[in-house]
Amino acid sequence: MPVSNFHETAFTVINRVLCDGAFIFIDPMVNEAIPEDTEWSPVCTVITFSGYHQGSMSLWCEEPFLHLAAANLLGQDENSPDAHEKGRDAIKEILNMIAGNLLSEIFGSQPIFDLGLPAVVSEEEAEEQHRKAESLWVEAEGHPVLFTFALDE
Amino acid sequence: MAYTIMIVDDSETIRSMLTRTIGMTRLPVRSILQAQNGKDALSLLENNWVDIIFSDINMPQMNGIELIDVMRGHPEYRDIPVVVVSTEGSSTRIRELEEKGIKEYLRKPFTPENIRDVIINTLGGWHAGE
Repeated sequence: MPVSNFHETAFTVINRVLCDGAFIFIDPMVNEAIPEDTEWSPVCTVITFSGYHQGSMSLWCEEPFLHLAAANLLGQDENSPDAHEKGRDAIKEILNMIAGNLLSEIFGSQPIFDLGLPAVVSEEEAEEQHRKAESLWVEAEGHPVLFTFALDE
Repeated sequence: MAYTIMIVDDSETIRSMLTRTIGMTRLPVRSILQAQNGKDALSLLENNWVDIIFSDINMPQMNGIELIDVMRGHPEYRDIPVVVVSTEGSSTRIRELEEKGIKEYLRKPFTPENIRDVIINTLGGWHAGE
């Protein structure tokens, strides 16, 4: 099921979550700046949802962005020994916030959804899950970030 | 007057996020207590006076709704305001929470200004310079 105005709606929600929640500012990413598969090594985080509709969302970003998210969201020192783990915790929470806000932005405030627990998965698993997904690239403080959204048929 | 605040959430990430954001409000805070679920929160309440509680809903052992139910039936805890913090966007679910007696609903993401407004609206009485 296609979502009307997906790109505009998703951009607005991602911008609000990153800006209000983590003081991170984003810009739309031009096609020329989208990294080739061989150019980046993303960490893929997925969240599922059920209820009024069922589906999943994912957020793809590289390690430096995770550290930035942990620093801004949690006050985590980017050079601390647990920066790796805290970065994953931060990105899971960011995806959780995006998911909750995007669902009500797309479907309105009446429907009830249940969100699953966000999880970091392998790139192959995320690709499989999001082959038919809508996708949006953004540039967050110079870091490429990919967001995908899929409704189950 | 400095506030004692309790955060109830099973996620350490959210507890850290809330603690950090409360610190940015520049409100006078005496201490921030942290609990992992409703049961932990009740244990902390036995020995601590708390001005306001920020609580998640979905938690293991005792969830936020159960915590509110127990508090509303307890003579010493029933008047402590509980603010639910969630990504929940369903007006149906929020209405259910309001019927349970929550004081405010704070939707994630939140800014220091959002938290500050919720604390001042709920507890009142603080002015810059006090």
